[in-house]
Amino acid sequence: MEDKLSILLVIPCFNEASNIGKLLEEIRGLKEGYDTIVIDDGSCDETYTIASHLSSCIRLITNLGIGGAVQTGIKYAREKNYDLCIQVDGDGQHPPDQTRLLIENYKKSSANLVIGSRFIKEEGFRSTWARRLGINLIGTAIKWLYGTKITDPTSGLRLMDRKAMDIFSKDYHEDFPEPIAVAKALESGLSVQEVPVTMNLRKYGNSSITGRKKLTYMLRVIGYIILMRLGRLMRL
Amino acid sequence: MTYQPTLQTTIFILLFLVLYLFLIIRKAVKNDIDLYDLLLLSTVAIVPTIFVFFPKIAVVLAALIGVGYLFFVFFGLLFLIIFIYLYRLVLKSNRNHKMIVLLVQEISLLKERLKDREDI
Repeated sequence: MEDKLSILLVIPCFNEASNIGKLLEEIRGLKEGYDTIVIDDGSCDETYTIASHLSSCIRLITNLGIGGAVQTGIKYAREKNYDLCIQVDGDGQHPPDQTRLLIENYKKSSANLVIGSRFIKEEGFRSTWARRLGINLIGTAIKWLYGTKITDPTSGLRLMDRKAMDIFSKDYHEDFPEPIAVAKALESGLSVQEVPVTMNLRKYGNSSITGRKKLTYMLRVIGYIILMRLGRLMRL
Repeated sequence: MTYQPTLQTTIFILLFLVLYLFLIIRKAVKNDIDLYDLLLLSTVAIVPTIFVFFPKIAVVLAALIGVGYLFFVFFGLLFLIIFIYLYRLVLKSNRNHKMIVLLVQEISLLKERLKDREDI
């Protein structure tokens, strides 16, 4: 099974001209020789120009947000018949060598969705306390509703197999894709595994979730997860 | 409980009915709004007209619902119509949004496919 796996790294990015080149060079330097697809989510800077010299690149004709960009990558992976796709954010927070850990876990567990978690081992960049609290509460909501403990439901570093790609190519949340995709996977009966990874602090640019948005993000995510569970209970 | 609209009210409501219906029917003819929109929007003018010309209906409805003021029946009905319309608009807007996302993705993927073919 090991040698036959075809793997695509899906790299969503928006205005990441300062980060994307370095990230793609790092990926090129890995011995795995991954195929990559950069999804430029309608950037206004040089992201597409830089990325298209180093990788296959799809430029979305308008900004769809992280969910729409990742879903485009998943659709591309399905179209090209890849066995696995791994999401690696274009902001440089996900060291590409950590993808190895996801693949190793997949080979051992055959889980449909493998998430790289910052919180299993206490190493590397682990976000601010407010974010960690929010992530913890989202994880607790998932645990209560689905009975599975997920330590880092908001992590964007994740591996999907064909079954997960099939589901997410049809339905992937636009605004809060990572935690809701975890709930969706559990809801659909997929197996979800976590593996400890180390992440970096973003080098350039800022996160889109700041200030009061952190609180509304958390509340809305929990709301959506409850709605999803209710939908199942009501057999909608 | 009785209610008798004045002549001014009747004239005002009639004027409103004619002008408003003229406006929305013209929009429907031009295909700017569909038939369902036309029906729901026209009720905003038709309900007060019915209440003016058949005031007893309002009285019967108020007694039936157990409302003391006819005013509440009138505005309650209008709010109900507007809520139904709003509900329909929200569904429609979400559906359109999903379609737009799908279209953007498909066009972008198609562009990539064309580029691949050109490179070959």
